[in-house]
Amino acid sequence: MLFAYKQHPRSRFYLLRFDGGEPREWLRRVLTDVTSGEEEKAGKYRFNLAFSARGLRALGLDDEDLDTFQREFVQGMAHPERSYVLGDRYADDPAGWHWGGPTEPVDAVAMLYARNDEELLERAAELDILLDKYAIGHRVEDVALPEDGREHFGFADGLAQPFIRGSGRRRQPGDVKIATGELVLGYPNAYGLVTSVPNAKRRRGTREHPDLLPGMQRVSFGHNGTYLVLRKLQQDVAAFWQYCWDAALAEQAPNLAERAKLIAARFIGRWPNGVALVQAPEAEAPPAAGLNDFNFRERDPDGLKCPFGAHIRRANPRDMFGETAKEGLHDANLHRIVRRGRAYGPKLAGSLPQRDDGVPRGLYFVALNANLRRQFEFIQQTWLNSCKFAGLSAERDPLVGKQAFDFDDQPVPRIFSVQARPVRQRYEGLPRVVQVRGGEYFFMPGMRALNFLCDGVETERLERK
Amino acid sequence: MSVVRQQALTVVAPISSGNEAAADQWLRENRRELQRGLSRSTTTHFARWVLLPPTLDEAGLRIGPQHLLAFETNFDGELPEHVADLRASLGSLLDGAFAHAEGYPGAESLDKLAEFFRSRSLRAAAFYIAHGGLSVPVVHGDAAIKRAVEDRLRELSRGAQVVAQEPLQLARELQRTARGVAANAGLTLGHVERGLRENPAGVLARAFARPFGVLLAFLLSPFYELRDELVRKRQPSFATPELKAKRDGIGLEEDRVDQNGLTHMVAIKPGWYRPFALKMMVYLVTALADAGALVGRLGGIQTIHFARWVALPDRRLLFFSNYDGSWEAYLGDFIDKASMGLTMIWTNTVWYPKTRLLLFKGAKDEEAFKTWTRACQVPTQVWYSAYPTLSVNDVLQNAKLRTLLGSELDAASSAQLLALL
Repeated sequence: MLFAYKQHPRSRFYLLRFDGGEPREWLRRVLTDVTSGEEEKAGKYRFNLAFSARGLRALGLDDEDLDTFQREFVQGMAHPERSYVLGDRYADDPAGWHWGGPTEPVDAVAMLYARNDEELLERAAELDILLDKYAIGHRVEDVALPEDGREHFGFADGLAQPFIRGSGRRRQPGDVKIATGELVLGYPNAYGLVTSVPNAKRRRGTREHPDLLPGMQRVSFGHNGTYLVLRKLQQDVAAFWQYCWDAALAEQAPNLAERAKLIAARFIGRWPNGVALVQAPEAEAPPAAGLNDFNFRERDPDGLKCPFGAHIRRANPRDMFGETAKEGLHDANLHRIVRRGRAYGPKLAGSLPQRDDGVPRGLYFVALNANLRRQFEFIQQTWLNSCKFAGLSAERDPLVGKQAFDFDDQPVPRIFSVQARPVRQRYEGLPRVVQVRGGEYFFMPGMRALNFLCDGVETERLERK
Repeated sequence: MSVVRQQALTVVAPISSGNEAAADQWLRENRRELQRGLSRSTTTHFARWVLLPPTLDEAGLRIGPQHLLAFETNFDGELPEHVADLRASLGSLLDGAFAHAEGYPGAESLDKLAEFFRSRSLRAAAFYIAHGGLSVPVVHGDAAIKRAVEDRLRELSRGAQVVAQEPLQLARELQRTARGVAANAGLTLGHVERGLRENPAGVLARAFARPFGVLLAFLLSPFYELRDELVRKRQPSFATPELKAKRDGIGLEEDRVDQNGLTHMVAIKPGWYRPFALKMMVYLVTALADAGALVGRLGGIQTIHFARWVALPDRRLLFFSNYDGSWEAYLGDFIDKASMGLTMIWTNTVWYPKTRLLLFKGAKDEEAFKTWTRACQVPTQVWYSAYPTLSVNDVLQNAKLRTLLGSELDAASSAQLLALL
């Protein structure tokens, strides 16, 4: 799962519900299909499993075990405290989610990645049989890596990823190396310390279980595991481009399509082809090598090329904060995630400005990290959703920023500033173009921990011995 | 114009026994009323009422048989005027808020009320101000001027763009708008004397006034840190049901607006050395901060409006802070930017993460420090901010804008002015 699975563009996500089924038996059957870290270099399809706190409970972990997991994970993404932190309120409230909310909890996610449709359907058919046999409830979402590498708004995505030693991914120019422990539990993190590894009561079994903790009847369950964030984000492509078009019109731009594209690029911080605005501020340039090979501080200290509030700055400010570039980069790297997003729904056809076809489409946002609060949630709360980011004072991320309400419960108008001379430009009345339609925190165990989950809970016998 | 000084008021009074729950309930139920009342006050930047429960010391003994009620404000000017202002803006609400505080005389007589506040107030061991010299009316006025200028810019725009003008011409146009608004609403335009200039000789003198005590504290630290390691084996779990419930309560009330208030209380370690070391370290941190003249920054952190440490007579250390943004970002800044300064102070309190020479490690142990901080936090019944949507940066930038708008503009200063918008 440390790979983007670029060779496996077709995929299907299963959101599982264990109630009334036999999850342990099911797990035992599919276990041999799960792709381990070592196997990832070979061909074939890929199969990953991750469990919510509810799912781990169903597989026999008790309160004492769950207490050793991160609090955010145990609460779950739909918990009211998490909703405040993530900004999932009003239109994004978990009450309206397709899954993961209070009425549709999810116990696990099974992710199937295939090289082509044929392989996907073949594996999915096998999986369906097993799910039915063991009475595991499931909801299926077909997701894919778009062929042109662009997400629904039309922009190249997934370009900036941290580099992690041992991940097997080739390091691209500009990729920043982060500590293994930022992604996998049990290794030194960005502070040079080991993020707490969840543990669980020892079980008896025939397979290879995680190591015992010294002097305790507990195993290091979380070793080689990681936390997985899954969010279903619906995108309103027509509204996004309509806004850019109207804004160009209001400015009486001579070439509306070109101007609308520039406005959209400023929201994002990159051109549709992925070239960063700090590299090509005026017009879309052909993509050169090194789409990720840039920093903000030196190239664009005043935000005149790429606005301070642009999505790529808010998602990863690189070296823009701190006393020095080095310090800024160091601080920003305490808050990195590995993203594995995939698109759902068909691309919206037609030329600008497009007419909405009423078909749901969007992104399955997938992120991996070792510390939910310091990594994923921090990005969401302190960068994307903060109206005080980078000295700005009243705006949030133009794409995914939450809708804020004032003290009289009136929606705060959404604005976006473009730094310019003699004075900034300001876009007002931005529509909300991304809506949260589902989400949950999962734990993706290492292979030994999966073995452990399959084996029976026989601690009582152990204790008597 | 004379300088308006910001001060810290910390009133601590015992709650008459058996009335803790009633006091808690009254404060929570009247939270909005108290906040509304305080918004009429012209001298209050931040305020809170918080019930301080008994805590455990290192030996597991209860400190404080009674709950204490703490009322704290960050205010402009002098205490008598502030008390009069609180009385005028809160009226009978004051009687409700302090109903169960021992020795509270009622708000009827201003003299008695002032005497109660004065006699029950504790001096801050260390007090930090990000935007000293800017009174509440000035902060509000600056924000109003900024809004007026932004509205004018919108009128001058076609779509998102301001219709092309020479920078100087545009800045003067905005200056005219600001002058009109300032004159109508009686707001200050131009420079406000903030009294920030420190006497460098005085700072230096203070920094070296107690070299012996500071040195002694450092010299003795290895022995006491060794002792701490032996004691640590008896450390209670931070994962008790009570602590978890408290954490949930605090978590649900945080991050509602762009600012947060933090109340933190922890017992000082036993023996003579720790209170002594604490005193020396507070003194050293303060002197270093003064010497650095770090206006708008607490050890490199630019998101704290006001913060203070207050030592309670019963060997507990109280910390109040009013900061921008999320708890996670705030704690991250503590660890990344101010770990030494904070460790020097908090290492003298119980269950603080393992420290070396009063300075090293400590807060650098990210998870342990965050867990410890959360465990020592106290749920706050009422918290008030006079400008909840303004960050420290906003306050300082708005002040700069107001100063420039009141000045004679030239090419350079008009460019500066426009860059602030």
